[in-house]
Amino acid sequence: MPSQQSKDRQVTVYRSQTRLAKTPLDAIDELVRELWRHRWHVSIKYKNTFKSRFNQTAFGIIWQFIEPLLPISAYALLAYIAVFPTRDDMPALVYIAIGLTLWMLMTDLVTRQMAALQSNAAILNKTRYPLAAVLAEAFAQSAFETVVRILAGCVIFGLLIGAPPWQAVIVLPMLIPPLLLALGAGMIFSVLNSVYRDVENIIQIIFRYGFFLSLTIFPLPSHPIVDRLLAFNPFAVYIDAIRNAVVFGAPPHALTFGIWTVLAVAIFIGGCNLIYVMEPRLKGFL
Amino acid sequence: MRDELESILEVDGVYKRYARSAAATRKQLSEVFLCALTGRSVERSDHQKDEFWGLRNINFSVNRGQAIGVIGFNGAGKTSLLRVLGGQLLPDRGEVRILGDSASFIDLGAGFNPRLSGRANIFIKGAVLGRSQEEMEAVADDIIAFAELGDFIDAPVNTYSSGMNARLGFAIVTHVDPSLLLIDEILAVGDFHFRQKCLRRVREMRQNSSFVLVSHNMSDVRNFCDEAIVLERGAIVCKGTPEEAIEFYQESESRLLGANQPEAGERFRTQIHGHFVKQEDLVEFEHAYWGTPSGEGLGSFTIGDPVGIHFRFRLKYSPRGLRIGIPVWNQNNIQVTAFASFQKGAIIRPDTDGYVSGFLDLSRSAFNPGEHLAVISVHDNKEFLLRQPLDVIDIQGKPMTQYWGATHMNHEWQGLDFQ
Repeated sequence: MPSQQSKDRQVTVYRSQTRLAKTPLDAIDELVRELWRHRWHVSIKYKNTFKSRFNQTAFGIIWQFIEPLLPISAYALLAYIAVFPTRDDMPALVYIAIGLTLWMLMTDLVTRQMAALQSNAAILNKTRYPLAAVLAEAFAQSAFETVVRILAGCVIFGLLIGAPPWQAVIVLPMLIPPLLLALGAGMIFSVLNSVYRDVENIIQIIFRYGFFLSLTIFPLPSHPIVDRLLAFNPFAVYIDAIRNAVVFGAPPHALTFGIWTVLAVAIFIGGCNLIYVMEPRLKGFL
Repeated sequence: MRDELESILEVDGVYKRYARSAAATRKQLSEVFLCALTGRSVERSDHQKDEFWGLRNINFSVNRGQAIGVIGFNGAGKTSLLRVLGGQLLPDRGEVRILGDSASFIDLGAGFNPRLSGRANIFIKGAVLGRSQEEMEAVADDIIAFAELGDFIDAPVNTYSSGMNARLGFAIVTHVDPSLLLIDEILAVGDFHFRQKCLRRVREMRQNSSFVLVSHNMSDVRNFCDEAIVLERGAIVCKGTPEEAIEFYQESESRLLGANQPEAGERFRTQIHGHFVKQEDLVEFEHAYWGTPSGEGLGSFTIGDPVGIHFRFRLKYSPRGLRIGIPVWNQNNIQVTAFASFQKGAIIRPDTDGYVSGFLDLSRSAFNPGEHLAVISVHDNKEFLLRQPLDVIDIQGKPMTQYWGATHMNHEWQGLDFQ
């Protein structure tokens, strides 16, 4: 922690080129420092939002646990009455639980970051509260809901399949690329949405259609064209690979997963750099 | 030991460009976005058709312990300048250098989470000002004591009045000890007692901090600042002592408003004494003057003479909460006192014809010698019906008596052996 004396000697410079000359790694380093400095602030704001979200309701905090599970239960019901196809080699409920957990984690991270930037416009405009902290608050809510879904998924898995194979531990590193991709894309689209307000609507349309083309709740028929399309859809690549790793302990397709991992890292670094550079410039425009 | 001549703030050739339309704003932002993506310079020396310079070639510096006043008409660029100095807006050209850190009084409540308690918001606002939890813990008790919120400190901020909000905000901002404080017209926080406390706190801070004060109140600029600048259409048009800057500003104002407008001196007086109003459809003003109890008008009197203020007006409707207030200023534009009818806890009832007339007996008042201006203010609850100045009264001192300050108190020296 810098002392008062060292703060007094620090020179702050504001100019048009501020932050433009920094490298992306400098940007990530600075964003991490900002987040660390504001960790308490982020946690208390999140705790308050968490507690107050349902404070006028009879069930109160229970809704925080019920809400994330509603989509899984609804689609499980549809699968049970055979509305859409299922895979023969795994129970439909397991297929849906894993698919939805991953889909909702990735898409929520993108849409919540966009919404957070707009809803915190006043604090961002009038204070020096960092944009990274605002985005971290959005991440915290997605993370909580994902944990609830994972816990529910574990129960479903245990009841319907039993213990997963030991090779399933590979899932842990495999979760990193989709997280990086969603965080990076969320940052880029948040900034882009402040410039071009159509972006949020376009993203919503893409996600609506993408939901059915990402192997989230049902498999698509095997066909060379469909397979090729799926390879270009990072959601499908990650969901399918992680699902196979959890259920069968199968490693991902090295080339496709590798390419999307590299792209995810690049998008994450690009997103961090973009919000770092744009943050002081967005003030006054939000 | 700190060097008092050390420059805390340097503003060097700062320009800020603004857009006139939503389309131009979008275009500006797209340009910035593309520059951010490509890493190329966002600086350009011109402005396009739908743009204008909100700030133009601003240069000045402030040393440690100094206060600089910024005055100018509405839209001159004062708030933009504060926002650039506070890092809320980046300049389009030039640069701002601050040794240490800055805090802003621009919006004291900004950064508060309304659903959290005042105590929790001390830390939240501290974080917004760049202070850690540990740093805020060290000053939290002082902040709570200074804000005088008592048990309310543990109540959610959304239950606070605007005054309580401002008091808490002021206490937090002034306890983080920034090198540079940016103030936008808000030295008037809370009631008289708290305002005095604020001024004392700001005076203490002048040991270590520098100030940039934006104000329309020339008295604040004159009393508080070491230097002042006048902004006109985004550019500095005068820089000098507060007196020089105020004089320049008033001359510009006269030029701008034209010959048909009231004299500059009169307008200046309005800035000190507030705006004068007369709602002629609601009230018929007959008179208000200094005079003897028998009603004889006076232009001057000697301290101790029987004297007071006579007033008479007629209301054309039935008021719900009629009150009279009479503030008095001395020749140095310092408000000496104010007399308020509602301190008696009652509202005034007009007679059957709507007339209100009376006499405010000031025979035992404690004014010091000099010219004084009283203003009669009649209001129905919070609405001003009438606010008019009386003729200036010249108060003479008693012979062989010395007076200091704005008032004298009845007093007696005891236990001393005078020769």
